[in-house]
Amino acid sequence: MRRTKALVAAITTTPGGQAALRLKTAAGAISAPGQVCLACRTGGGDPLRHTLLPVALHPDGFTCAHPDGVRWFPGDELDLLGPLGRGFHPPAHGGRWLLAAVGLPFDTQLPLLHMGLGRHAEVAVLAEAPMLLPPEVEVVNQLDLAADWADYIALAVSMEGLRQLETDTAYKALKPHAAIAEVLLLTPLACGRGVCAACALEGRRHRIRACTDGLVFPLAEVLT
Amino acid sequence: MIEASRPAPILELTSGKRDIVLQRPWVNAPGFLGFAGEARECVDIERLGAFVTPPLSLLPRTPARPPRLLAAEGSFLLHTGHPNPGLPAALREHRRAWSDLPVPVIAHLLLQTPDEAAAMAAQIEGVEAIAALELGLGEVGASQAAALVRACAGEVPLIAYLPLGTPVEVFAAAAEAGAQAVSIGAPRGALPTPSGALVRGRQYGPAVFPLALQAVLQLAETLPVPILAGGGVYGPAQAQALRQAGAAVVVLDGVLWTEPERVLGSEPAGD
Repeated sequence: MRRTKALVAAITTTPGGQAALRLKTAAGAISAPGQVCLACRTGGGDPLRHTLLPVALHPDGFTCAHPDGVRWFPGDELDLLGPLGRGFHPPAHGGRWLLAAVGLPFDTQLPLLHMGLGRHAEVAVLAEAPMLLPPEVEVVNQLDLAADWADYIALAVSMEGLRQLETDTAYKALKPHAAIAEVLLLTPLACGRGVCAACALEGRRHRIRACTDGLVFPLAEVLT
Repeated sequence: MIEASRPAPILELTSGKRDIVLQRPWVNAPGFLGFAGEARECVDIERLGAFVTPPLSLLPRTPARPPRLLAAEGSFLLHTGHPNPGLPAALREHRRAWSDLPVPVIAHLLLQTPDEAAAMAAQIEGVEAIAALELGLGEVGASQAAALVRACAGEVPLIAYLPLGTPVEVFAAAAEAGAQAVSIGAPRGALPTPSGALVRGRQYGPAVFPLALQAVLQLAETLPVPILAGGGVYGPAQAQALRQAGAAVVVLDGVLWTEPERVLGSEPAGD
C-alpha cells in the first residue's frame, strides 16, 4: 500500500449505466480484482478519502464508479492510497467460476469476470437483473444448482448485506460450498490502515478489519 | 562556550512528580493513529508534539454495530464503539512500542465512574512510557467531571477531554479539580442512514471548524489552563487561527487520513 497521484482522465459510465471515473494512475495502483483504492482530491480538503472499487482495469489505470457526493472533474489530480486488500484468489487456469453481486451493482465483479475469461474459465453469473455480458458468459438464476456446478465462487456483498445473506434461504445453499467461495465485503472505509475500526468485523476466530484483512475474505471466515 | 539555544517548549505540564513536554504544537486525536505501530504508516510521528493512544477502557470493548461511518457535506460521523483490548491488555501489548516512540505518549482513558477512573489511573502510575493521561469524560456535568478528574489525581499530568459543545463551566470544573490542561474533543452528532435509522457518533471534518474556533475563543477567556483544540483542521490557516485564538496545541483528526503533510509541514504561530 502506498500513496501515489492519479489523474481524472474522463467522466464516463460503467457497463451497468452508473456514472464512472476513468483514472490514469501509476503502475500497480490496483493489482488484482477485489482490491480498492482510497482517494481524495489533492489539496481539496476532502473530509475523508473516498473508496474507489474498479469496474475495469486498464494498462494505465482503472475505471471506477463515481463516489457519491464527490465533485471531481477531468484534469483533477487525486491522492490515491492503495492498493488496499488482498483481492480475489481464483484458480490460475480454467475451472468453473460462479460470480454474484448481492445487493450491489454487478459492475463490481466485472474485472474478475474478464480475468476468468482470460484464464479460459467457464464463467456463470448469478444475475438479479438483466445486463449486457460477453456471449460466452452464462447467466443463471438458481443459486443451489449453480453452486453445485462451480469449483470457484466469488461474491460481492455489503457488510450489512452479509448478515442478511446468512438468513436468506437461497444463500444457505452456499454454506456447503464455503471452502471454495470468497466474498468481497464492501463497507465504508475511513482510514484504510486498520486503525479506525470503522470496518471491523467479528470473524469466526478473531476480529478482522476489512481494509487490511479483506476486502476479500474466504466465505468460511466471515459466515457465522 | 556558546550553547545552541533550544526552542522553548510549546507546552509543559507537570503533576509535580512526572512531566510532559511538547516541543511541537500538534497531537493526534485519540484513535486516529492506531495503537502505535500502525501510526508510522500514516505520519512521521516525530512531527507531532505527542502521540495520543486510542481510547482505552478498563475492560475490553467490541466494535459497535454497523453502520459506523456516515458521510455528510463537509463532515463525517464515526460510531465505532471504541473497540480496544482493555487497559491491562493494552499496557501489556503496547508499552514497549510506546517507549520506543520519539515523542511523549498520552494515554486516552474512557472514564465512567470515579472508582473505575481511580483503578485505571493507578495501573498507569508505574508505566514510565506514559507521560500524561487524557481523561475522556464524556457528556457529563460539572460535578461529575470534577469527581472523575479528582479520582485520577496522582503522579501523571492530567488533561480533561470533553466534547465540543460542553458548557464552559464543565471545563472549568475539570480544571479546578486538578486537570493541568483541557482538550476539546469531537462534537457529538447524528445522521440518518439510507433506511432512516439514526446513528449517533463523533463528528469530524471541515464543517466542524467554525464551532471549534468559537469554543477556543470562549474557553481561552476564562480557563486558567492550556487548551488543546482541534476539529476540522485540514490546512495551515485553520491551525494558525486556533493557535491565535488561544489553543496551545492543535489536535489533528481527519487530515491524518488524507493529506497530513498539508498541516504537519507548517508551524503555526501562537497568540
